[in-house]
Amino acid sequence: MNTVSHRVNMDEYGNPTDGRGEWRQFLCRACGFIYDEKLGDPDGGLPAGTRYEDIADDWVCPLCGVTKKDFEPFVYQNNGSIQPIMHEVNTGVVVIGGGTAGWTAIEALRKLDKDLPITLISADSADRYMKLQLSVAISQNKKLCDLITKSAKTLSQTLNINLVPHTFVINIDSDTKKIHTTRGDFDYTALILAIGSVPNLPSTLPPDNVWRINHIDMFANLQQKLDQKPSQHIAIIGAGMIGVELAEDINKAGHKVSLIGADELPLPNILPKIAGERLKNALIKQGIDYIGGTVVKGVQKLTDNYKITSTNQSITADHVIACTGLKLDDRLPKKAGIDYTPQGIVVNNRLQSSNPSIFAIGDCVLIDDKPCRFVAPLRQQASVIAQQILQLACQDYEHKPPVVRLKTKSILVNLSAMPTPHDDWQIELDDEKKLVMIQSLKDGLQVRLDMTYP
Amino acid sequence: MQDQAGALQQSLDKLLDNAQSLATMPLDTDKQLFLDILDLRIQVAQLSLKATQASLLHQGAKGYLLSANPQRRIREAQFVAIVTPAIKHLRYLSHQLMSEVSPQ
Repeated sequence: MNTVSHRVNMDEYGNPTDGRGEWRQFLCRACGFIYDEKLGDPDGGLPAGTRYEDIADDWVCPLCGVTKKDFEPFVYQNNGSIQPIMHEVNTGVVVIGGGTAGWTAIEALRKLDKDLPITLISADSADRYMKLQLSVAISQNKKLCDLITKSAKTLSQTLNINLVPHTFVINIDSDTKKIHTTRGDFDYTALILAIGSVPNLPSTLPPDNVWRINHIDMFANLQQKLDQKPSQHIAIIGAGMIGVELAEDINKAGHKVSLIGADELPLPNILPKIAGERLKNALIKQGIDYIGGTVVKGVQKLTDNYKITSTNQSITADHVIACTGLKLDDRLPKKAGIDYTPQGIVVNNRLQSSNPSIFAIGDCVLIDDKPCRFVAPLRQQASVIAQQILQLACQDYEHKPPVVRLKTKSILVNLSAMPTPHDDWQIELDDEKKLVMIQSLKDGLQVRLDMTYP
Repeated sequence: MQDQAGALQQSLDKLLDNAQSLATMPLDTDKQLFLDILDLRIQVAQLSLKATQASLLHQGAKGYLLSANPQRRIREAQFVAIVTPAIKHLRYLSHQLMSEVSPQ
């Protein structure tokens, strides 16, 4: 057969001669067949070199028979992401969540047993970074690559674990001890949930209109938007710790910030009124527009910006960031059939959930009926879990309330522990440099607040 | 043989129960419900592969013959696994549903 006659639009080397650019490829959305213009579909009557637009409408996919309209342009993407290595592991520990909690658990296990099979399943790349730096990284111009401290690939090799990145867990079957993921099923003998928490977005804040600072990937996208133009107007909804830190950081980076709080004062659940007022004044002094006592009713996309409607006014902003607190994503605890509340997974004093082979660590855990979303307790939590899984002599986890420090520069705020909202505070010292207040808790413990004005 | 009728039946019963309970739920645009349906469909495809493979292995060479029933069933099971929505298509969809939405 003379193949040369079965070519159109191309020279003897296979290069296009019709002036319509390079050869393109089209993907069949139904079966995955790729139509390559250079190769054509000789069996289907299309000579090599047939352009996609020249294909007759009655042509069908040679593999599955759908028509031309079910094809889409295909561009081969090699995004450099690492390929997961999925050995057949029928026993061992599976860790869900590649954040600081997940990695800390893995390190604790590896320290005690160098051969135990460990698999890490992570929704993102599982590269290691400090999440708490995100709320102060913009003014320091820290980019994604500066924030990542260790790549997941290197870590997984050093710690000798099975790394499965960019994979979501869909279901946990705790009867058969099987996990269903978007890359297949995994068996486990012990499971560690390090699933963190997700932004608690009220229904008035649509996720495609507001940014959240709970993940490095979304953070990087926001940062890119902020870098595009100086002096943009950024609205931050929620004046809790992250909202306040971020307001100061973005303001310092040269943008105009409006901080919208539901209460009159920032940090209403943590700070006594007098301290809240001083923090508010410190924010205003920097040029941050503090809009207190305002509940946002909706965020609407306009052509170039967003309109924020609230109970008493409406403002427009180039970007809107929601800092409205965190909650537990309850899909997995629900599927696994373990006890949980909207705030976290219920565990005993050995971090064991209501199912003995499922443990939980970090932001997703309830401690004394409250979540404790700080990095400090992770090491001890990890070591208790590791000892339990390896059936070593194990002590109970003793929770030490971590020190709470607001990462603002204009005013330094330190709390020796989480205070109880709305309980009485006593002033211990109040001068032009410092405010010290004490809250006495029921069990004889005290919370000390130190506020320093540099 | 590792895969016996008892265990396969148990897995099937579980999937049937799951399908029954999903069928009673009102169909809405809830992401969680859709994820459950996709997961069930994947599990069904995987169980068909496992069950038909087991049936061929149990019969040995007799089951390998082109005219043998297990041979035909294996191909049927593979059809369940590859026909739209194929296992990989279902996983891709689940991945899309789980991915976070953010401003553009």
